[in-house]
Amino acid sequence: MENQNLEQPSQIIVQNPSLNANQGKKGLPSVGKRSKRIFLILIALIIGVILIIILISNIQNGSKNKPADTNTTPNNQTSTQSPKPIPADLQNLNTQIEQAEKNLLDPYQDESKLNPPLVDLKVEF
Amino acid sequence: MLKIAVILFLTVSLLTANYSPPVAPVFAQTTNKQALDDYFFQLEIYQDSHSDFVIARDSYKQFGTLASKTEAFNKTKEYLTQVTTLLISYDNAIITILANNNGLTNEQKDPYVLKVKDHKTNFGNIQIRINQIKRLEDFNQIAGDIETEKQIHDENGKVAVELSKIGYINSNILSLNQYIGLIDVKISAAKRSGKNVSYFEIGPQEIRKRLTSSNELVAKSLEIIASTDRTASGKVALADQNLSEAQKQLLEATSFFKEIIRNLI
Repeated sequence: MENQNLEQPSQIIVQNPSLNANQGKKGLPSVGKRSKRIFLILIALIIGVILIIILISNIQNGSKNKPADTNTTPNNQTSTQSPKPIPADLQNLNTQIEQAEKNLLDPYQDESKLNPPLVDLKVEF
Repeated sequence: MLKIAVILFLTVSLLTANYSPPVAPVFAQTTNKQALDDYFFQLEIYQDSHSDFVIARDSYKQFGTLASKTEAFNKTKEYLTQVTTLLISYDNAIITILANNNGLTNEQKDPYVLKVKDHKTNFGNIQIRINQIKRLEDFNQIAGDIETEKQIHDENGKVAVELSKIGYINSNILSLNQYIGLIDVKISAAKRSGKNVSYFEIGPQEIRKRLTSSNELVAKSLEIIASTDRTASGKVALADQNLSEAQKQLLEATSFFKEIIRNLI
């Protein structure tokens, strides 16, 4: 009986001619192979998570470091809230004008701190 | 093994393609801030040093003991050294702020920077003399010399700070001059597409008037601070009046800019 059971897989191979020789050798994955696959899936997942984090941080950095005067945004960008979209270059210009206005309303921030220091020079010995 | 190799290859490729190491942003103002922070730090040390000096001097005058004389000598030496360090850090702050000012050419800055640098050298020489003093009474002379140097130093310092203010206003004029060029392009495009608003003619004209007027006021301010027939305070007061008018004109120009942009949208 034991000998018959052991021979069964080879019998299946013979009965199914569509399977090629390599597939036949594989058969059911052993415990070692399964743990190897789980290990590989875990590695892939970890790498995936790292990639997503890096991609998100790159996107965030990109939006932070984006120069104000670039015209990379398409002009026909639509907004669901505003019926008339503001072209990106005009929006940038408006932002720069507002910044200039702000600078002019509160000027000389560094200069105003530079009054000559008052010092006591009455040593009198 | 092939799968692992492929996964590793893709991972390394993606990481190298997407990952950029974080770069600390560099701003010109950081240098200004550092110079000002150093000046205020020296001001704090000065205040502590002054308190110590006053206590030691009064104690010596009251008791006249050898110990109190030694203490007065040490504290006066420390104090006067700190006075000169403070004045040098003030000079460094002025030099830094002028160096970072984008509204001025080097030719405009150099004469004022050189004067401030001369004061730095003179205070440095006074520090050497302070270190060589052996008798308490000799500090009187050194204090007098610091006072004399400081009077001219303060005058030149005030004028140099005024120059930085002129540069600040001028940098705003330069920016607005760039923006008027962009506005002209936008108005031309709007006209080509059939949009014609009367404001497109008046707006840029009004902006140009104000930019020209501000330019003249800046030039006048530069002349005022370079003149030799006024005191520093007189120069500063007069230049301030011109700069205040230029500031007003530029603010009006920004309002015209915003109105044109509203019409362009």
